[in-house]
Amino acid sequence: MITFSYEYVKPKTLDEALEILSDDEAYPILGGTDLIVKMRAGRVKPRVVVDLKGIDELFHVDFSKEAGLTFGAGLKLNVLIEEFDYVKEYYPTLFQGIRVVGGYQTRNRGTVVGNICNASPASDTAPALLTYNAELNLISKNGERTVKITDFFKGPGKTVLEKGEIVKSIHLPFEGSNIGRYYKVSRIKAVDLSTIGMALTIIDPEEKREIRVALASVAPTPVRIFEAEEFIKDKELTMENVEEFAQIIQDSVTPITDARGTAEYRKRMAKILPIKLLREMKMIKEGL
Amino acid sequence: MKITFTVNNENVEVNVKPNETLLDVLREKLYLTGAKEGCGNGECGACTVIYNGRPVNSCLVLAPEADGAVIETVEGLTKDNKLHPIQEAFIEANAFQCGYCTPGFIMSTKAMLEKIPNPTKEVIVERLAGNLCRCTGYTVILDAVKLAAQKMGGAE
Repeated sequence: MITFSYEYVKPKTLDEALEILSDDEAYPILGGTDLIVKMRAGRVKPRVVVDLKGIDELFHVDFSKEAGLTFGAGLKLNVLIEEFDYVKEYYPTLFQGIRVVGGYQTRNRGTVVGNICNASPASDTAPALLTYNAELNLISKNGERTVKITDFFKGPGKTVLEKGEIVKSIHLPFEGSNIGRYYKVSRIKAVDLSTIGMALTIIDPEEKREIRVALASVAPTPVRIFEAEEFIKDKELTMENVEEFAQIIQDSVTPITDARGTAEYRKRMAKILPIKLLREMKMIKEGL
Repeated sequence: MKITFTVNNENVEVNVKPNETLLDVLREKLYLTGAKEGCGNGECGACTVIYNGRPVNSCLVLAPEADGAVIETVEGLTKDNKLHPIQEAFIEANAFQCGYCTPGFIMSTKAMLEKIPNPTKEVIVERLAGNLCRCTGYTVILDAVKLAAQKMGGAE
């Protein structure tokens, strides 16, 4: 039971939904795994809850090597990784990020779009999306625009979304075969928020070898560390270079101390994790 | 507002308020009190029901969202006074003490075994991670799930 009352509407078309959402106190709901928790705590008090699950076009998924992956806001986390094999095959870091959001039940309701619109610094899907150069298709009754995920987050709980605007779909270009890891450090192994999370994706590991790295829970927003990527580009992955790469990551992050860990611990892990992940992926040329 | 949905193979029509959850409706309007409210935040899994074939936390579903859904609760498992093999397995493995979390565990187990008849320990742990037990301990619950898989015809 939620302690205040509100109206619930389930429009059938996007136009209708966007019209209703232009009201200041209207909130969209897809999975509800963040919104309902906030409503129960009285932290968010909508006058109207707009259920977007009646809108067919939000459930569209499409992949080709030419066009990349596009999926609508309505896709449940588990549906995306269980029913579309190409997500696991071509976007392995995202697959792993999705798999550690909440518990299995939460992933049956929650969505990737909800996970990023919640804009938690601890989002488990955002780091992978950052490494895949995701683009977000935003729409409001005033029109559509595309925003890069690197420009989307503004702070804890804050995004560039304007009132009445929603993320309609996410697009990930396909940039070639890639390997990747999303590694989440948390106090308990499952159903916990990350103390620190790291996505490391390597595009074309055999030839071009482009390493991309992004982190959760080390800054006010999920962050990609371009400076470290630039440093390691075209360099041999010797232990020395990898350590310098890890050092740049450590120097770039600005964690705080909170209930899940200290700033010092997060800093240390920010350096340990890239080395661990590159080693697991057998990318480091180790001496002797 | 009026919603209709299927619960344990029966069509029901209920009057709900937008600020009720599916769990409220199951427990207080349909008197299906198997699903429990533990945390009310989607962390503990005590309210797990099978919703359109997938386990979900019914405390995080608004009642009106459930319009048209097909729902299974623990009450639907017993047929003609005969326990479901998963229920038998939980009893035989002594997989509960207070029992508060058990309906949730059983529904998560059922949803899993219907798709993966013979899950590995890793799969079981992943699928049941959203169900917390605060008194029995997880070892006997794992035993019960493996036993249930056997009873339902999974290999081993």
